[in-house]
Amino acid sequence: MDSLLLVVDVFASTLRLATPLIFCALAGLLSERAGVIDIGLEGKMLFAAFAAASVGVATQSLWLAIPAALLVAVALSLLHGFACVTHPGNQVISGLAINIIAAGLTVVLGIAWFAQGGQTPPVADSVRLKPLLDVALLGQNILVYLALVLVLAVWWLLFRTRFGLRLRAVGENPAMVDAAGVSVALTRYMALVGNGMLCGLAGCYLVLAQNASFAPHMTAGRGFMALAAMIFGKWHPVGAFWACLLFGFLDALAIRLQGAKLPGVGEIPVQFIQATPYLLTVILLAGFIGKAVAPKALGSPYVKSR
Amino acid sequence: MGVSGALAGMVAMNELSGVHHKLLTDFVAGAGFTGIAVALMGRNHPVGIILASLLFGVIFQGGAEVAFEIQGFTKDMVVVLQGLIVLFSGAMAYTLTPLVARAYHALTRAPSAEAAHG
Repeated sequence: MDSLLLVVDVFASTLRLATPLIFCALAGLLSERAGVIDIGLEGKMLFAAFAAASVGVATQSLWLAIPAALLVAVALSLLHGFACVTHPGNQVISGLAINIIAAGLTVVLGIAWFAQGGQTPPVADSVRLKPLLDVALLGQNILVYLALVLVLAVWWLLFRTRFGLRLRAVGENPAMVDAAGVSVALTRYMALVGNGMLCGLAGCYLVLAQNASFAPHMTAGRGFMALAAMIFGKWHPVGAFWACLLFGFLDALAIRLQGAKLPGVGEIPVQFIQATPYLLTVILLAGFIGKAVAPKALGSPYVKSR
Repeated sequence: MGVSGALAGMVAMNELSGVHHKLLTDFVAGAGFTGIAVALMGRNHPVGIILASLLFGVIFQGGAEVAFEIQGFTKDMVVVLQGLIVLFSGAMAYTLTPLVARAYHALTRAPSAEAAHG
C-alpha cells in the first residue's frame, strides 16, 4: 500500500512538473511548425509569470492576472514576429534578445515596484489556483487539465483543420502557400499569437499554481527544456507531450531521490538527475529514436522574390 | 565542431586561471548565450565579433562599476540594455535597411538626373 501511494505521489508530481513544459513545448511547436524558430520561450514565460504575479498582487483578481500574463506574452511574440516575419531578421537573435530583456526587465521592474530584491510579494490565496478535487492523483488544479486538453487541441488544430494544414505548409514551403494565395506573414503571426498565449499560460501556472510569488529567473531553464522536449517529440504534439512527461518524471524523481541512497550505487547526486533530460535528448536523438526532421523552412525568413 | 569546443574550453580556462582561481557554480554567468548574440551581431565575421564583444565587455564592466558607485542602479539594468542592443542592432538590423537603401538611391540619383538635364 505504501509503495502504491508513493507511485501515485510521484506520478501526480510528474504531472504538476510537466505542465509548464507541456504549455511551452506546444507553444514552441506552433511557431516552429510555421517556420519560426522560437528560443524566446523562456523569456516569454518569465515575463508572463511576472505579469501574472504583479497584476495578481496589485488587483487581487485572478481574472485580471491571467489575461495580463497572456497579453504580455503575446506582445513579446508579436515583437518576435515584427523582427523576423515582417522584417527578415534573424530568428535566433530575436528569441535571444527576448530572453535577455525578460531576464533583466522583470528584475528591474520588480525592484522598482515592490522593492523586494526583484521578488513580488506572494499573491493572495483567492488569486491562486487550487486543486479541483481532493483526491490523490486527480487533485490537480485546472491548468494541469487544460494542458492535457490542449495537447489534443493542438494536435487537432495542426492535423485536422484547414488552418493547421496552411500553418504546416508555411513551415515547409512558404513559396507554395504564397502562390496559393494565402498570406505567409498572417499565418505566421497567427501561429505566434497562439504561441504567446500558451507561453502566458505556462507563466501563469508557475506563479498562480506552483509557487505563490514571482522570483527572479524562476523559469530556471524550463523554456529550453521544453524546446528539447519538442525536438525529442519530433515536432509532434503527442510526441512532445510524452517527452515533457518523461522530463517531468525525471524532475519528480530528482526531488524524491534527494539524499536517498540506492542499493549498490550509493547516493546519486541530484545534479546528475537534473542533467538527465538533456543527456537523454542527445543520446536518444543520436541513434535510438531515429532522425528528428525539422520543418523545412524553419529559420528562414520568407522574402517574396520579385 | 571540434575547434568550437576547444574555443569554448578556452573561455572556461580564462575565467578559472585568470579571474577566480577556483571553480564556482555557474561561473560562466550566461556568457554562452550572450556569446551567440555577439557572434550573430558581428554578422559571423571575426572582426565584427571582436567589435561586438568589446562593446558587450565594456557595457558589462562599466555596468558593474556604475552599480558600485550609484545607489539604486542594479546589474539587471545592464542586462536590459544588452538585451535591447541585441534586439535593435541584432534582430531588427534589417528593419531600417529598405528605408536607408531608398534614401541612398534617392540621394545618389538626384544629382545625376540634374546633370542629365544640365
